Amino acid sequence: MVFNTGAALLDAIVLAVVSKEEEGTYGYKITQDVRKAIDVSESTLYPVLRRLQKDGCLIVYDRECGGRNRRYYKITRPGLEKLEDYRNEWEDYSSKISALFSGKEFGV
Amino acid sequence: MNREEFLRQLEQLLTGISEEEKADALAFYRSYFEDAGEENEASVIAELESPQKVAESIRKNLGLDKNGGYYNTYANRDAEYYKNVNRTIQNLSGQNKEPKNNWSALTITVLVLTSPVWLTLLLLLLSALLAVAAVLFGVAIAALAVMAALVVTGFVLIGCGFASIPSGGAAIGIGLIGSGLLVLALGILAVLLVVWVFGAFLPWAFQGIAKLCRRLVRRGKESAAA
Repeated sequence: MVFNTGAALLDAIVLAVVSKEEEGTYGYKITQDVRKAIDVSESTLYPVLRRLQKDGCLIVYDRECGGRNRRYYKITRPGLEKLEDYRNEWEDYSSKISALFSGKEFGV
Repeated sequence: MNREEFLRQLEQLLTGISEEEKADALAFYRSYFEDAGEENEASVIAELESPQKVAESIRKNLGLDKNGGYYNTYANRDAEYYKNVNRTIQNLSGQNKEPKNNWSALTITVLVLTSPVWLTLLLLLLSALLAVAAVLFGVAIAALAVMAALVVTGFVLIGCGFASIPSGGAAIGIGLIGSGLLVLALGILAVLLVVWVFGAFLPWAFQGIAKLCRRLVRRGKESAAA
């Protein structure tokens, strides 16, 4: 991948991945899902999840699974609002870049 | 290196950050290994590269403030420290308070200067509301009185009719009873009307007015925010 993934885009991708699971999802699965879309080192995901948790975008809870507690991440209402903002921003950003790449004229 | 070694090294490398942060990070990576399964242990360790790299990413994140700027992350300080730094910077610059005070002083001055106008308007509005309320009250009392009069007259006429049958003749008595029944029917209609007005129409009207007021207030707030 030649393009860098900035902090905001990474936040948006993680929020999108977590929001897909109504009941929440866990660290390993989030990492695998994010890595389907972008090439990112495994060690970068934990700090992102921790930050989103502190900002109130995600909540953490433990759930019994196979005799041990697995930590689940679930998106909150502020998290969903943030994700919606990111989606709109991305729509705007990506459509302009795409238009530029395809050689079409766009808003002067 | 196996996962226990990896986690032990990570724990050592995280000394200095708060216990809460350390416990959270270690719990995350422990459960990460468990979810990956033993068969993937080697590949996960290879992917994470080294405990040093993981510890560095955790420390870096703790030194990151909300605006995306970095602070010096070498010192053995925890997240609370940076929160304090942020608070101190905000207190020292104190930029948040003054404009607010200026604005409210201006608002008070304008309010005082224009008080003859808006006080009069407010009083006018209040007296108009009071007048409307008084009229409504009067109408309600009148309606109740008419209703009561109709019902009472109906009963009295029927009573007189029955009383006059033996003395004054059947025709007058039956005529009186008939007119009494008619008046009573009107009275019952009035009762129904009053019950409907008080029970259904007035609550509905008040709710409508309240909803309208709320919408006006909300719109006012929105335009103030915009």
